[in-house]
Amino acid sequence: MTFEQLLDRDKVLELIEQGTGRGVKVGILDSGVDFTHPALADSVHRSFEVRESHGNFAAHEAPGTDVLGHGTMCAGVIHEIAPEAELYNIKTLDERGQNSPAKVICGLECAIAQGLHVLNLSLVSLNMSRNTIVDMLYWVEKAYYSGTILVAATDNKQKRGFPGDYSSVIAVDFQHFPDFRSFNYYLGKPVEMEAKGVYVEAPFPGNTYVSTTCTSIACPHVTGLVARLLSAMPGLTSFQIKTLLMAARSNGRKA
Amino acid sequence: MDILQAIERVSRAVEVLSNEIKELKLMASQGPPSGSYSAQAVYPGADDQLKIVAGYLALGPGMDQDELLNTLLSCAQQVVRAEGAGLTIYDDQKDVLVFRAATGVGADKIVGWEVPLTNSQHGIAFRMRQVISSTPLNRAIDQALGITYRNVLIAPLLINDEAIGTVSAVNKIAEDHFTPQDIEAYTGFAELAAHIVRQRMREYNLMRIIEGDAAEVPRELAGVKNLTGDAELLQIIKDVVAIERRSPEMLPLCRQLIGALANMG
Repeated sequence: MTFEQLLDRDKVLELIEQGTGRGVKVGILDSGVDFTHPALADSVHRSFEVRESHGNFAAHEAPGTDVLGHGTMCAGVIHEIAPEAELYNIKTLDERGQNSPAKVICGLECAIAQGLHVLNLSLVSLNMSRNTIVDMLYWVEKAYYSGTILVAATDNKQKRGFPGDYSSVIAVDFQHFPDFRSFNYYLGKPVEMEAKGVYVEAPFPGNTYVSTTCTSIACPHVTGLVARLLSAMPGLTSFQIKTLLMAARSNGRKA
Repeated sequence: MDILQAIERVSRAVEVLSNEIKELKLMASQGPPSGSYSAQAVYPGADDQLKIVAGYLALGPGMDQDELLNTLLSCAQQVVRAEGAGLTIYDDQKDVLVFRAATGVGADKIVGWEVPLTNSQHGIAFRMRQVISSTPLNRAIDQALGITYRNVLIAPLLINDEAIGTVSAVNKIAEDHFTPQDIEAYTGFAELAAHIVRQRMREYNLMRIIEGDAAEVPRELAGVKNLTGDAELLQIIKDVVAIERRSPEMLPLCRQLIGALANMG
């Protein structure tokens, strides 16, 4: 008997169908969220902005208006999959569109402090120094033990990057799937999941929608999926979520 | 600076650059780095275009600028079977991406157009350093140009993970969207395009040192900042030129070294 045979796929799929995201706090660490978009009505619970002052970073409660459109697209996908989840906007990109590992670390700290259950990180940092990798790992580990499940996009060029490369993080690549119920899971690979990321209709600032293909848009599909699982069975740990995702994976099968 | 030290530094720089050029030529001769995808399979002329680009990289600053850009962009267009292609360069003063060159549909109108980074697909590709396929392009661009672009594929021009602009294709021929295979192909192509832009920047800097202010600023490079490594190299060359002026007996050797830098490949 294999490990997979011990797991009941149908029961996990049932859980996914039952889940709505109710009671689950989901963070979007990104460029901000346009919560005036009709597709996101009343879904954004709180908003934070990571700001720098004299070389130090801190998250402040602020409108967190989207400066790029990227965060709004991700929030829209999560809200569509887990409509009752409480969204937390953690904006790390400033008006100049600058982001940095230090800001991401500060955003992680904020997510843990807010007791978020899932955090969407549709971003990847390449060429991080060894010290920065260790600094970020501290907060990724803290998230793991605090029960904040981290879901991160991989690089389009499939280069190794962070935070997706940390073992406790669920790293996501894009694939052509019909919906969030279909996904691949590869046990033991740095990029464990492939989710829908091709021709995804997502809300965009200015009360519009765009159809997008990229890893960034695949990531919120898994975040939404995790939110559904958590609402159907509160208290699941990162390890348990990964195990359930592996059990429910499509990997060539019909969802 | 001691002359021997300067020569040694330049020699090392020549070696580093020479290796880079070899890699570029290899990359260009191999076409887009993809497992299942072949530029030849999509468009019969695409491999030829890549060979021209490879030839350019081998020749150094001998190719006419417009010819280079047209080759680059028609390759950008053909690699993914698109009706048009464009090159933007980041203007850090205005915090916008400026179209420096374009081919195909709407090309004559779009050059010089400034794309805001806020709420634009170009902005997402540039800021998030991701290749992105999107439908539609940008309402503001459509309205301003009087053209409705159906879809767009945008890749950031990255050098050492630093974005300097974007290369994009518009209107996928005979299909509603650019495909994941197009994204894969464009990822490799954008890497090559970024190196070409960087190479042009290096050549321009050398021209400035050799010819002074008389050297014309290439249109597509306006606003591009030198990368740290290139700026250091530039300083080395300036030092050598200064030494040459102080010690004319070193002139033949300095010329030879600078010539090697300018015409490598």
